[in-house]
Amino acid sequence: MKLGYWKIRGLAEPVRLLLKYLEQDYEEVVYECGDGPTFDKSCWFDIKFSLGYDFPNLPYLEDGDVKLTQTIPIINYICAKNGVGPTDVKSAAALDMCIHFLADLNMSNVRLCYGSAENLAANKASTVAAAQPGFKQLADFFGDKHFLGGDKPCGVDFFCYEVLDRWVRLESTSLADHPSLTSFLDRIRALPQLATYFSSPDSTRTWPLNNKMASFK
Amino acid sequence: MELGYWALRGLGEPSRMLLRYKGVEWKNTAIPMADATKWISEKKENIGLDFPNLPYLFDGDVKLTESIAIMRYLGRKFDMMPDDPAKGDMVEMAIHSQRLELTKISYSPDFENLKERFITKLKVFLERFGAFVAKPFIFGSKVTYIDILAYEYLDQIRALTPESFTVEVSEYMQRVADLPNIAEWLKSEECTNKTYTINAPFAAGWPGFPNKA
Repeated sequence: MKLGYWKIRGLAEPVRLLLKYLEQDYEEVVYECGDGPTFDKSCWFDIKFSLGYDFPNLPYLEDGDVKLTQTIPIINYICAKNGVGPTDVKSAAALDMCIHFLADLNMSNVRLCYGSAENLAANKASTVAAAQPGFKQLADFFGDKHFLGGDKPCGVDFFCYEVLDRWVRLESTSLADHPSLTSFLDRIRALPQLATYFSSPDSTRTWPLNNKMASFK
Repeated sequence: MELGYWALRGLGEPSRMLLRYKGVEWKNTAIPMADATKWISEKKENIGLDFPNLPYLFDGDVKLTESIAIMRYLGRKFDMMPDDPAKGDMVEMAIHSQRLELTKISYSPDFENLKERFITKLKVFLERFGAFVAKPFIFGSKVTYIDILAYEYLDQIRALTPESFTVEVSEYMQRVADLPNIAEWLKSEECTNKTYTINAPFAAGWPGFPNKA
């Protein structure tokens, strides 16, 4: 199995967390853009259309004959292959809703990170404030459940982890009013399968959140 | 079953099209923009939605938001899922990503500058999509929810840049438009494509006003 992406956490990180949790071996195919001001991306764009993908993009997953792009489809594929997560129509619908909600919640964070430094300074506080109702809705959606997948994490849990951790990295007080979400982050970090991943100084966890052209990396 | 959304096409229209295609009984709660403030203050947080938003779907005790989640739920309910879930998910998200890009530029005051880059990326997508689709539908003979999603989103995007659309994609779109119930709807007097905008009418860049014949 190969996972291709930039040398950042970004959109691939939920996939990495999921694969590490499932203790699946895979190869990281890493693309690193150049430094400013041009941030040369030719290492990717030169080969992008020659790798045999229907809709070439990053991240990509190659697993035997399967060649997939788009983060959520990649997560769904890995979960289906490993029998992870619920398959009944109602639970699947709730988790589809949750992952798309999380993708929306992530968008204002990403926009802020990749906007100008002036914009980041001017709008960080208000952006974090605007995300608070969403955090509350998410906390209520969890209810008493330890994971979105129930007793065990499913793919959406790792997407959720990364989205929330990005907010905390951007502004450490982001989840101050939502202790249950902070507990969720701790709970994911405490998973035995992820112990090495979170503690190793060489792991992709140490990579920047965002790419080189971002105002907040 | 009830589908709630603003009285425009946007992200809610694919679900409406799917329900029309299946010919099932459903309540079309189309909220006029003039009632937006009232709906947001009175209804939005009070109708039992976990993540209050539009569109929403009510089906018995199921209460859903997020347009893709709704389409997937309806696709499962009505046996309109692709045989290859991974490929289905991928083309679904590739299409949805194009629509989200359109949303981003449509609401930007910088629309005229952003439009060109959008069209450049769109053309790449349309070429890929045209090569990907089987005949008559994306996955062959079975109509999937993704065909309905693709048709509606591509039709919306086509209103902005008809010249970008290849023969393959246009012919594919016509095959979906010719489906029973859909064909009748599109030709009908009541078809809201005549009156609905594609985005919100106040969108700073491109509301997507309907063409008057």
